[in-house]
Amino acid sequence: MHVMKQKFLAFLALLMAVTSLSIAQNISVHGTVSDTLGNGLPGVTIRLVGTNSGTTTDVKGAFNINAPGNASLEFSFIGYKTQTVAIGGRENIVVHLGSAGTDLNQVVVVGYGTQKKKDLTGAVSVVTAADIANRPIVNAGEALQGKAAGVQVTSNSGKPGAGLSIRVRGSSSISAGNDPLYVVDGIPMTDISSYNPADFESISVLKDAASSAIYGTRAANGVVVITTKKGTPGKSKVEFSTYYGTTTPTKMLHVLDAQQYQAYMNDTKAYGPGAITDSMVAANNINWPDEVFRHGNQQNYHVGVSGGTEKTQHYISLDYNAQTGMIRPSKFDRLTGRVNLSHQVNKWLTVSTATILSRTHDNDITDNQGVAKGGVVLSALGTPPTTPRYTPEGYIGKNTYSGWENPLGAIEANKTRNLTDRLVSNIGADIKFYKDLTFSSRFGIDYTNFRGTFFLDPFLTEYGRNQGGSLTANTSTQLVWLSEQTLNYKHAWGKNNLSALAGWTAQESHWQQTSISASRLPVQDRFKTWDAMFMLATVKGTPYTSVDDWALVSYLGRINYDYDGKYLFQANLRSDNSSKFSAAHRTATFPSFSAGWRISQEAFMQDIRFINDLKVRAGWGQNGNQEGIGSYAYLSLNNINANNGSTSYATVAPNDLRWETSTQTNFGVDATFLDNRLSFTADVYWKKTKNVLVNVPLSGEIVGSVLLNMGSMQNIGQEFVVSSKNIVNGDFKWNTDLNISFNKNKVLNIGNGISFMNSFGGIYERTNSIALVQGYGLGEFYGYVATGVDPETGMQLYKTKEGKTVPYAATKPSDRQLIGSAQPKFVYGMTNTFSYKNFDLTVFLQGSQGNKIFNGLRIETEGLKDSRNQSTAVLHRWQNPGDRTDIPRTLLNNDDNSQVSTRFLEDGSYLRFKTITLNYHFNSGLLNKIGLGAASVYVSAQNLITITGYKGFDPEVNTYGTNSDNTQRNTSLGIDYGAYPQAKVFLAGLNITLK
Amino acid sequence: MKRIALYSVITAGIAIAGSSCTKVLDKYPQTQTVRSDSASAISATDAENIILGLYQDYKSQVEFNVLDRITNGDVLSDNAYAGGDNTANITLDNFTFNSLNGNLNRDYADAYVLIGKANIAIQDVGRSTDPSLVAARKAEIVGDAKFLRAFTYFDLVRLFGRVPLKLKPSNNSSADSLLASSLVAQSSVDSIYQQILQDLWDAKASVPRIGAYSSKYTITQGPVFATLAKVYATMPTPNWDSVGYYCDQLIPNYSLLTDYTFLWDNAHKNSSEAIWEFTYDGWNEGDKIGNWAPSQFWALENRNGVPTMVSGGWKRFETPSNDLVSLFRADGDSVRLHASITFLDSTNTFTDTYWSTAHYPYATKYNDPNNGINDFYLYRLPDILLLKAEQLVKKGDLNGAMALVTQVRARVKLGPKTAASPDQAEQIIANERRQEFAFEGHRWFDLLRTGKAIQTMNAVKDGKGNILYNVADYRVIMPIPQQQIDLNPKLVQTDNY
Repeated sequence: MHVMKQKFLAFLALLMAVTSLSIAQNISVHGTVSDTLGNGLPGVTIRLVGTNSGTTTDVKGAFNINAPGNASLEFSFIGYKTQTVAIGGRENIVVHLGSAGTDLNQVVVVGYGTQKKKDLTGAVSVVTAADIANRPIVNAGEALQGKAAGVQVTSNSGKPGAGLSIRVRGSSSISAGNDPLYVVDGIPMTDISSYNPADFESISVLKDAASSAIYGTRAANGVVVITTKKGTPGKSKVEFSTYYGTTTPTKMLHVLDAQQYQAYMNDTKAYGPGAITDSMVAANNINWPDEVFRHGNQQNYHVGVSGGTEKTQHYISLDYNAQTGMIRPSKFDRLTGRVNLSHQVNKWLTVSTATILSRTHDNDITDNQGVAKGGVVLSALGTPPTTPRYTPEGYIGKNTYSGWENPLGAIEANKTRNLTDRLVSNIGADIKFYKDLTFSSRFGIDYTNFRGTFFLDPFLTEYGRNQGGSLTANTSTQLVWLSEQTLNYKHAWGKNNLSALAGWTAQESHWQQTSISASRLPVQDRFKTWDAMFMLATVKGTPYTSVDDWALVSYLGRINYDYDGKYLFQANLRSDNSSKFSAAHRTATFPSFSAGWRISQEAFMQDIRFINDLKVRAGWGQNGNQEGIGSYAYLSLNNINANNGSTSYATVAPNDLRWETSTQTNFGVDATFLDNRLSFTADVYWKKTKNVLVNVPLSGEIVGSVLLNMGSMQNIGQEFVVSSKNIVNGDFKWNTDLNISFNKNKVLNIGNGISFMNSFGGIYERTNSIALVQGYGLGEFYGYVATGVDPETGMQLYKTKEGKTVPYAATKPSDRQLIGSAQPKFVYGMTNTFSYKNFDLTVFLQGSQGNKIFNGLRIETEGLKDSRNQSTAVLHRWQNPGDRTDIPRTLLNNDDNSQVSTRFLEDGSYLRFKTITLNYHFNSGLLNKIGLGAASVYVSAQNLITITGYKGFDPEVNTYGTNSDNTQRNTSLGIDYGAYPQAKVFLAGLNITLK
Repeated sequence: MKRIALYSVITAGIAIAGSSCTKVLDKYPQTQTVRSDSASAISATDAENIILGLYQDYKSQVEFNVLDRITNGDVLSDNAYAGGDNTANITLDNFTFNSLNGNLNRDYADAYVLIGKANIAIQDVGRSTDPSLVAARKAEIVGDAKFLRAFTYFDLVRLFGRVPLKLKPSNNSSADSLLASSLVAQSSVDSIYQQILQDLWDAKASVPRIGAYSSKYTITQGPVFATLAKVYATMPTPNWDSVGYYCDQLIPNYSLLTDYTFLWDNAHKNSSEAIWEFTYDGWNEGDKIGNWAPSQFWALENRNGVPTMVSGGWKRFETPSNDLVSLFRADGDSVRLHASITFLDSTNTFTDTYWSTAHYPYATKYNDPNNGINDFYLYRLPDILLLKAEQLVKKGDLNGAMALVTQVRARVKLGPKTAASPDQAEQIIANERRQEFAFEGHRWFDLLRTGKAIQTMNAVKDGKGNILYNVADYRVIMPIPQQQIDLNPKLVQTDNY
């Protein structure tokens, strides 16, 4: 490492020595830079082309520069198109910068720096603040859905504050993490739920190895680089925005009412006559889904103050977001404060800080579980309409046939509350040593304080009464510090442009948790605060603590070179040392190379007018994945029994555990045509991951499975982005952005001769529904092929290997086969923006095509095996010989007709009107009179229409997406086992800017 | 100049930071311990913590060691119906199970978890060089672990027949070696029994004499002799002389409790009758390990402070069979009937094909479904008395055999039995075992040992006199769970599955 670093420094010194440019025949040029509406733009970078000298505009957008009369000036500013203007001897120049939009000239944030989009040689998707505006986005990851090609975003649940499953160019791991790394204002992290998306300036997704290799062992799943808003010199601005909306499930499911339920239960093939009496039907006819799902709401209030002087800029914001769920008591609220400051101390020193403080509070409710494990959604569907809400004693009513209490048990008797405080702050200094060489020193901390409490009521439920209630609390703190020291060198001579970066970073995390528990709470104390109840509970559990530490020390380097903006090259190298592996296997080095050719700059292209820009690019590189690997996963560990200090053998681990390595090759084309009205980007990639961590379930070990670097995996895909300004002239404007991504994921090798593991996606009381199969992708459904209902017997028939159709009793396990994939063939998004005078209409569609969903809800609601309430589909069930139907007969306590089979496998494709927003901008003349700079109001609908053949609540489901087991999370895709449904949101909002 | 000075300081800073980087990378767990390969790593205290942990792991494995033992012993046999709504149990009861049965898979996996832990303990403690670990104590700890390993292999071989014989911890020096040493092929039933005997002989020589400990969970020669007697009687080629020998070693050291109900009242734990007993202090006392198996059989609800027997729902695993209830009644065995079974009115809570819900039997031998304080007996004296009786029948001593049966019956106020033929004597002993050990997980294994499983099961009738089962011969050995075969390609499925 030291040798490498020394060489690098020597190289930089050499470059400095050979570089010296003299400038002749200077004249003084002055002028102004403004946006297309004529507002002066402060802080615009002006560079004398071919040199590194330049200046910036002042608060009014004015500038002064000494330059040769025959030179050109380049004007660049984040969010605006870069423009190059030949001085041509003029002393006064007026420049109007156009907004960047999707233009190729926009400045793109990349790893450890920025690049102009035209100079990019890697595959990067960008989502800007405009894509987030006026949408009720709580977790910034939602903003990527349908907006960034190559990124698949799936909500695990419609619960407020629920997590997302985000895959950049498919899944590359089987048992480690598959979620991308986030880098917010330079701090790498894995969770951005504390952040307020309204503060985000831009989100860049680094998709290929060429762009992400600079993040080394944490980059194989892509890197999402986020920058937050900064103040603009001289443009003091106070923005206020708010919205309020109501939420309802995107769809409701219909279950039997009391009389229909009585008929089903009293069927001689079920419980028989008299099982549900007329008096029970008369006493209660409760539609439990309606009882459970209510209108929720969502609201947001945001104040942002930004501005500053030439030397000091600030951005300060305060944001409050609150969601009340559709199912009590789920809710989420978050208060975020941010201060971003930058100050130029003198000519060579600039200091800056970005700090966020946030408090998140949520009430959880169990979903994605069967009724036996307290899942509220399946309880809502399965609780009989004749079950009373409460018993005469005041207990939660229960289905006496199953013993399960109604969903009020999950809603009222269990209280899970989480409080998260997070402080993320960085402080940095940029020191300009010489004109070409800058040193940046940055220190950051990311501090989280978490408290989660659970309370089980000692009165309402049978379990609660037997336990006398129970109380648990987990309190944890995590401090991650980061030190990042980088040298940046930039130099241009003639038509050559060179920049180089060398750096060292270290990051260390310390996490500590304390858990306490208690039970036997006197019933009269059950309405007190958690802490009061804990003190009053008469039996205390054994407290315990856990500690988890990790560290990462890395060296990184990058060289960019281009000739005349025509031939572009980039090379990256990162070397990581990770504490997660044994000393002998700790160091990993990841290189990448990429090149681009801007064909449109060539002389022979100058006559082809309809092409404005054309670039081809190619990249190759490697990166690693150590996310999702425990801090001590390479060690065989023993648990210490907190009760008496005894030893329990806990894990077995191979000493040679290491990171996964992905190698990716990417080819891309960027083109704009027809006066920049049509732009097109296409990428193809081949990504192969070796040493894939597989949590191999072993037969005959002390652990169910061990984590081994055994597998290999492949993702091949194509991404296309088209942006079109369909109508640009006059009052009516229409833009369309379309992106579509194909990814083919394939497990090349599981390892050690294993070609098949049917260990995933367990369906309660049935078998596993997912197999990991060599030669297939993750999320392959495995089960019987259902071939309809026998009209004579009413039994569900299945296909055997020999091609016979038989009832379940005559099948063998080996008759099961692969029956479909949970992975879509492609995902897509399309945004149409129409504007007419003061109105904007945005219609954003998003969808997924070709994926299957295993509808576990129907196993419960059409299982016809016990006293659970059923869906109205069972009204067509087989009842008499000769009945021709696809719903089999009732069969008490028998799963033969409801095995994991194609009967419950459905097409999960969907096309969703994700957002429809109509926005009205008030005229600025009127606003100016009352002291406002800008104001707009809007109404919006989220998830208004979902076109799908899926029979569950919503096709965006992922029951195993929140599973604590990585392998289940990665492989058990596309299963719906009672997810809290997605919400349809109607909202109205207001944005005001004070001038 | 200022900047050059600053530059130097920063460069030096980076160099220092870079060179001190390795220290920050050495992270070890604080709240767990790392298992070391070094022989000197195990101190005397570590060895005590290891064996205490292994004991706790065995009894906290309630699912395999208690609940499924009862399911396999009583539901598989003619003692109980599956009850409840769990299809894995129901298919076991009906002999329609296949290799996908969830219970069988978890039993197989859970057994190897325990065996694997015993293997590590045997190696860890066995190579400790700490002089303060006294040789006798060290031998005893290793002997305890070997006994536990043998006990679990005995469970496995009776259920699954040929299984892999793993006797050493897996080699974790690399991923390849870990896999190679974990995925082992099956051994013959004979060699598994030879290993069980080897471990039991080792244990016999190193654990203390009967009565050395007040807790009947702590291993002495008692549980070792009892397992030896059982193993010798169960092996493909039984050795009845050895069965008799070990029974004789045990019988004088134990005595029956005066009242059968004392066994189940939680007030007579570690009694003179218990040979090996999982002692449970419940969730809130002592080692805080509770026995939750009874909560699957029936429910006791705290209604406004009053514990009330509530029935219904799925909480009726191990529903007593008509056949068993008839046996108790035909023998006038009201003491053991009422100690084992309670009839409750469960109208409108479920329907059942075997019993009227208005008068439905629950397995209530374990009287506390909530606090986890019911002990579980692996061996108690009547088991050995009746095994000795079987051995006497083999020797032709019918009167001696019946005297032992009579001794067991006298405690529950039943008269003596006499037998005119060996067949009749064996039938009397078998019935006595059913009544004495209902819901203690013995019956299916008694049927297997005596070779009467198929003929007995195919004669069982329901309450209306209909034949209940049609069990094929091959079903006396369970299928190797398909999931285990998927994971270990060296495993071969039991014939006919």
